[in-house]
Amino acid sequence: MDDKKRMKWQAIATLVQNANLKGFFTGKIYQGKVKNVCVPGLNCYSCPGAVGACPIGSLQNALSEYKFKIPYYVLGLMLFFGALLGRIVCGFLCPFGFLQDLLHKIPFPIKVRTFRGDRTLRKLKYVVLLLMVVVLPVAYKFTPFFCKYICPSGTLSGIILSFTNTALFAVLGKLFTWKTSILILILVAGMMIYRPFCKYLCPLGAFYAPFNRIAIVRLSVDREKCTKCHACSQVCGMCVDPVENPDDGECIRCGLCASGCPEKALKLTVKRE
Amino acid sequence: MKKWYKTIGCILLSAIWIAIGIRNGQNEQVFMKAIKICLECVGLG
Repeated sequence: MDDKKRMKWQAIATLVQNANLKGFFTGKIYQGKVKNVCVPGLNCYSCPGAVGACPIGSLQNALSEYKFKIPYYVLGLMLFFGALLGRIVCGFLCPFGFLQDLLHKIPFPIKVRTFRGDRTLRKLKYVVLLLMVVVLPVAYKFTPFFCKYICPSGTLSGIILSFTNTALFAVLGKLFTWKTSILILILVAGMMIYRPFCKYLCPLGAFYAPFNRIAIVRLSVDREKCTKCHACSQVCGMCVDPVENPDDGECIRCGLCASGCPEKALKLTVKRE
Repeated sequence: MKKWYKTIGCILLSAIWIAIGIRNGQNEQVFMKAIKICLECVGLG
């Protein structure tokens, strides 16, 4: 699948997850029954367009509510998306991933493919998942730490809401400044580096990463066709070598490697050898 | 083949967890949070 086709999928997924279009003009969020279902990607439920719940926000809230020992419902949905799709969610369905893909297409004087310590820094997202999504919300009741201090998707929602809702605009403070700074940093970095948020910070990507090994949709390598020219790893924005490790947790299953392979040795499939 | 077992196992487990969650009313809890503007999320709380 080429990049244009994938972007169509991403645009449709973003639109479906943010189908409450009138909310963008009225500044009111959707309150229908569908909102008790988590969407697969990172899409803040306070976004005026959101018709579903964000899995990371819901998980933090469920963990910080003392009456829930284990948040079976949210974890069950996340496990379902993970086992079914793995990180194909990141490549095709996540609205914030789509935004970063668009940003990276902007011509910017500096484009960084990788740097020293890149792979090590990618482990930070697992720390974010463990610390800010699980440990701190459990330790300090009623505080979704990741949403409060990092999540750029929530900040985008806040910006949209503050433009359309004057009451909210009046109470913007230091936290909003902090979160907006993080958002700007991620957006600027996104023009230089391919998907910096997904690579280094996203707890949802960290959750889905291990599922690349077992997900129904997977990357298949035809070893007989492969000439080891490494054209696939050269086009990969996530700097993964799909021939060496097709189940790499960093692979977002965008399929660029498959379309970039001159021998057509790679493909996204549900079949197993 | 082993991977298929793991995949199917995970999907079955997820179905069980979702069912337990719904029985405990956790979906309603998610709903109650999601229909209000989360002040922390948008940077106001």
